[in-house]
Amino acid sequence: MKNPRRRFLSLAGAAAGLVAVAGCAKDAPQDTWQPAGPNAEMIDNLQRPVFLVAGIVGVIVFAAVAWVVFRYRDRGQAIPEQTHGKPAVEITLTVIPVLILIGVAIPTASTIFDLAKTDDTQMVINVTGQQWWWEYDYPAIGDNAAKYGLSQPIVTSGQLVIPENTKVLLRVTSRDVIHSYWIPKLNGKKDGVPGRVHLLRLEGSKPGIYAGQCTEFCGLSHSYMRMETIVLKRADFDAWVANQLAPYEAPAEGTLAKEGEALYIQQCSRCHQVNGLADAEGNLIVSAPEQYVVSGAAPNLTNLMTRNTFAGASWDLLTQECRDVVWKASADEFGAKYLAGVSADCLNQKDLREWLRNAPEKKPMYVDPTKLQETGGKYRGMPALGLTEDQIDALVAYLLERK
Amino acid sequence: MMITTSSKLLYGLGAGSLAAGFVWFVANEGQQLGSVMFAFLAVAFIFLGAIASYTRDGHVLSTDTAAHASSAASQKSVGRSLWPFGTAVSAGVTVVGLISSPGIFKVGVALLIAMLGEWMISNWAERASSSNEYNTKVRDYLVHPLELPVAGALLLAVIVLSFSRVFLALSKSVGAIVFAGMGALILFFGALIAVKRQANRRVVGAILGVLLLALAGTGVATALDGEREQLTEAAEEDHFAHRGCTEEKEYSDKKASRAVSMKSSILANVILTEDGQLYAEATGYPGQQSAITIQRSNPSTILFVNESSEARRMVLSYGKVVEDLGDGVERESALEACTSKVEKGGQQAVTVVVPKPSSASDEPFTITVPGVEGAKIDVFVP
Amino acid sequence: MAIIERPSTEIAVAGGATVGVKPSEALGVFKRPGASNSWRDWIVTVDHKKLGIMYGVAAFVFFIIGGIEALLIRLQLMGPDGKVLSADQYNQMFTMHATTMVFLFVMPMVSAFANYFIPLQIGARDVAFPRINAFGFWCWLFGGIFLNTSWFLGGAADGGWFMYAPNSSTLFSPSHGIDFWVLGLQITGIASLTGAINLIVTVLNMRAPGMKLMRMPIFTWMALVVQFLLLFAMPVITVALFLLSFQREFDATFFDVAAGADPLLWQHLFWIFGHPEVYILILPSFGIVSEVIPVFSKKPLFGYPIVAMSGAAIGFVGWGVWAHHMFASGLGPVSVAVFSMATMAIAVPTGVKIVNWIMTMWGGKLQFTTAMLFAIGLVVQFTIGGLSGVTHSVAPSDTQQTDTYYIVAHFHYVLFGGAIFGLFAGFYYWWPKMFRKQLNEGLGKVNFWLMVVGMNMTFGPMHILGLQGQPRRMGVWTEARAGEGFFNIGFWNMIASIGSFILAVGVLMFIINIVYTHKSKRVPIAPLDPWDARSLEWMTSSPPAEHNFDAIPTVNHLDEFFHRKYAEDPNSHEIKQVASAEEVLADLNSRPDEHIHMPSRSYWPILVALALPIICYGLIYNRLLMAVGAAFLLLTMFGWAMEPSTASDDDFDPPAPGEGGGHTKELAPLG
Repeated sequence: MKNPRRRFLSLAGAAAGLVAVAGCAKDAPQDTWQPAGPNAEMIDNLQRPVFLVAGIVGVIVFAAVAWVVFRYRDRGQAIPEQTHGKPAVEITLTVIPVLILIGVAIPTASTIFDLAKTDDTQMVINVTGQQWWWEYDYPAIGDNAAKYGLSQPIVTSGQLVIPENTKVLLRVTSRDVIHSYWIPKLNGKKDGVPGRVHLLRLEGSKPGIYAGQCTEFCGLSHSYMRMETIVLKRADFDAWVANQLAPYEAPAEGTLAKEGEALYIQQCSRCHQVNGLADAEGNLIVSAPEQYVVSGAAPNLTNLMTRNTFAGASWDLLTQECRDVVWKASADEFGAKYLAGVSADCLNQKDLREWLRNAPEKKPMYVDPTKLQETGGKYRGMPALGLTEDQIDALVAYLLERK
Repeated sequence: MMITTSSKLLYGLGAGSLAAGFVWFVANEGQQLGSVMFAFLAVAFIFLGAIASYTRDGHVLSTDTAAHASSAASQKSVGRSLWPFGTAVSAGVTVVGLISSPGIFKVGVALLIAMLGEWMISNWAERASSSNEYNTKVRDYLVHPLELPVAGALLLAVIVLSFSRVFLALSKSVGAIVFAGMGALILFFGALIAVKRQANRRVVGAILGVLLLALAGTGVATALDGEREQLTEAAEEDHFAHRGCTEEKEYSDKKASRAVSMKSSILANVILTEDGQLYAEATGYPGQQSAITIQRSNPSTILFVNESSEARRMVLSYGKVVEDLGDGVERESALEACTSKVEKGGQQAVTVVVPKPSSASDEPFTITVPGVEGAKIDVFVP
Repeated sequence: MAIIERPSTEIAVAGGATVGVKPSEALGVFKRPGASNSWRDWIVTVDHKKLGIMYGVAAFVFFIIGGIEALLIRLQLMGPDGKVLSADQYNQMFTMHATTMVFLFVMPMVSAFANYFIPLQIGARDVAFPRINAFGFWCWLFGGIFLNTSWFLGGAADGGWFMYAPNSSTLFSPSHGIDFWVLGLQITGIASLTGAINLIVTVLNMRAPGMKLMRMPIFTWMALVVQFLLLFAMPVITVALFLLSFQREFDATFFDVAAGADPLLWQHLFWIFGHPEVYILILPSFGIVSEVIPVFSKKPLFGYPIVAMSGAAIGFVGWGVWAHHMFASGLGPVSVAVFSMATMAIAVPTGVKIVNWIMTMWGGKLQFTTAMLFAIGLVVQFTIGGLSGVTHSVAPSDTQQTDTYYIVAHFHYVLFGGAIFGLFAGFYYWWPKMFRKQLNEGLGKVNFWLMVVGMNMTFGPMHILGLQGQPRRMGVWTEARAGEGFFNIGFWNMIASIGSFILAVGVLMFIINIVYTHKSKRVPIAPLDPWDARSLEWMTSSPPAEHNFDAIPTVNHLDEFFHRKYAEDPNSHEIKQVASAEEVLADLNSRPDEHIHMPSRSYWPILVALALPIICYGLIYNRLLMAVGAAFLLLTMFGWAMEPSTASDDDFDPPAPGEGGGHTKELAPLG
């Protein structure tokens, strides 16, 4: 008889090895072993020894099984003594895991409380999930207004922008079903539960883009609910805030973008707010997503082209080359590259146009349009608008100026 | 022959009812209530038919004289029956109900059906054979599966109803004492019975019976007397409607919206201090806030805590809405959400969905307390 | 069937003649079912062994269905932006995969073993409530079928098996899938609850003389713990399902935030059920390997009392750890810390079991039969799953891992590598007992190795996928987030998908093995005691007669059967065989019990069970149908209540074959 347990032993060894090198994986956007901020580091400092201990215990158990299987296989030996156990052995082998677990429990408890600390918060951002995108709003009260120049609230989506080395407190909630906010390199996840506000601390110690995904199953397009957190140097962050708060600039008369604006007012502004956009009589337009969408919200598009993803961060607004320029920029250059936004040359025309042509085909939005009566006629996500190619040209031209 | 004469009739009626139910269903375009009634009628007939089949209509071959002499039908009735009396009382209740109220009428009809059913079955069972013992057994076999659950449910209903009436009439503090007292009493009796296992079942039964009667009696008495004052007032005010968030004195039961779930998912606590200051405590913001943010279109629960000496209410104003009433007529109404009046030390939560951003409104969104000058919290809806 | 069963008593009337109501001609409409060898006998049977086999067969069919669902999931995730399934189909697929595997495969397969072997292991003739036992089986089967008909009626449930509110409300899931799910589970829940009560009463009251609790075979022990878990866990999920169905069918607002409710209520209810459920799935397999390992090590289970008590301890502590499924739900640090500690505590009794299995083998005389291989497979793979479980108990670390593939890896190591490997050990070990033939050992080893390789190839890489941040329940993954190099999730997803097909081939080998064993003429009838086993179920014929034992043995030892076969030589202290299995059985049967009484067959259990799906279809589609179902339920329950649990011989169809060979024998107290 061959020794079958050897396989497990080597497999276990390999697994332990894999876990050990997992930390060195390069370019793994959602790797949970590459912390880029103090909160994720706290977790990492805890989980590394725990995995190590678990690995060692595993190897010991596998070795014991392998030894037993090898040593006591039936080689014609006599029927062994019918012993029912040895209390001393049993007690020892019970006490050892107890001690190991106590060793694990103490740092676990202290880390739990460290991660829940909120009294040193420097910035507060509300994060609201809905099917299937995240909205961020930066309230203009408290330190936000006093220290970070947020004289007006900023509402954005998809990409959360935070200043470097700043203790940001996310107040996570949801408008419809339960979602979960997770940027693996910055912290563990926290569910956004409708009606409740849950707190999650983020702090990035290096400028860059940190990817994440909604991790609580939230319905049809759960896989298309992604998000990114952008960490910027303080100066870059201030520039970003200033740009977000800059007044609306209408497209020049006679341009394609101007046509797009009219189309936008007619089609898009029902749900999507563009701050400062006014109709022909000069009345400010306030979107009314609560009349059309189940969640009662749609992404604010005022500065769409400053973010480089759209539709729940599922598609890039940048072409592949331009995207690489931003994502792979060094920490020092990153701010400038990111703040450049999306230029006409860099725009990922294909995905954006497909989206405008028929959004639900690209990202499943509702199972069955005939079921709209179940929701009181409201959509779950963006419907297909039936735009012509000319109209799409105009809209793209208009949207390109939203930066 | 399995299908006896009388069961033929009953099965026929059952099938007829089923057909009628179907016809009704088709004729009334899927309106179900009538069909359901017919379906149950069919069930009843088929059930009776089954009983007839089971007893073979009490039929015995006429040539078999020996069998005839001892056949079920030729047995004498045992006498002594509760059911005629019960039927008479039920008929009386039905008549009274006919005159006074539909509720009593319905109870009467139900009683009447039950009594007649019981009468019929015991009448049959008494003649099932010449053995009284067997007759009782066969009756119990037939009716106990129906009787016992119904009796149990009725007993439970009496207890629950009486209990709840008593507690609705008692004031809150007395209620707690009575509740504890009754609990202790039940525990005491339970322990007594458990310890004295040989206790006479009749005695125990009698005690329980008396207690039940007392409970039911008190229940009826308190039900007639009416609920405690506060509850009546609360019901009259219709505090769920929240119409008009003004300062006038209106009472409401502050318990109404102190659900545990509401306390567990609070966006902000709004606290009115003894000296008339209003401030907010919101998750994630340190200390006392004079402004809060509510997410647009998001159900948000705000808990109002009144620490001032007077009963106060909290009002959240979030703009205006213009309704188109047709013919060019428009009605403008303020969007408000408010708690009922909350006594000193009381709390009450309000869940609100704000559909529009505050920047879209001419007037600022605020939380105020009518009657308290300067008590104001700014509300931002981005 | 009789609408109303005829009372069996004959009546003596004045004058001496027994006339009155004459049984065979006077009363009753249809006859009571009698013994026969046709398929009808399976419909009306109340025999715990037949019910056990039916549970097993039906559960295995659902295992195949659930497996196909799993393969479709793996096909979808094989490459980026999978196109095999639409988003909606994918959501249905993973919801139903989990639901099927948990409620329609592992739980009923455990019921199969428990039904078949608990009475045999404790030396009883049947379970305490045989008709309820049959009712439970039919409830479960109809519930399972009802649940799966949703595939053809507008789509299955799409909210995940955890069915978190508010995503489960009609607003977010307008198809009837979740209605089917809720009601189907409600029906199968009845089966679990009645089964639990039945088996608890059986074990507590019907053990053979001398069979103290601490002499019970360990499988019976674990199954008993599981029945208690079911008894307390099922009501919780029943309440939760009622709340959900009221919300969906009657517009209640239990989880509606705008009405002031808190959706976390559902999570608490679900996991208070859901975590004990995990132990409901795994403990019976622990029991099975605790039978298999001693037999093939030729040693008693090491630390029998500790293994039994640690099982009970797992069952108990299992109630205090539910919130570790909710570490990311925002419970607050105090709750998180408490549940984190409690979860660690549960690792101790689990670890004790692994240690005891290894110690049982230590110093033994190991025979690597297929059953033993599966048992050792469980020990190793469960250890991996258990250790990754410990890493989850570290709450901060869990907030990185929860809802990622790391969790998927963890619970598949526990449930596939653990529970299902245990069940397969049980299949190979008990097959000759149930079907008189041993499954082929050669094919069995191929089956085992394919499953080990497939299982580790499928679920091993999921550890990496999870730690690389691939969340669960996502129908597509994108290359943009896949990363580069060795830990590229594209590569590992491919490996996992390939592994899943190897696993499927492994399971296929099992089916081939069954067909080969029973079709091939070369496979001989198995000996009475093929494994040199230790417990009572082997101390009777294979398969056992309807009344299980001709004579109920008196039990003097743990491992009674072994002690009747072997004895210690007083001089040399060597263990020597003193009697063969045949001799032990012949000795026992030399004094057969008289007046063996067996419960009578009945139509009613299946009919009552049949009424439930009718009501549920009615609830979904047409309230009128519901009324019809309710009436049917009422009538059949009434019929059941009227039917004596035993009836005289002439009340059967076909009639009893003469004197002494009747359908019932004389009354004797059960147990």
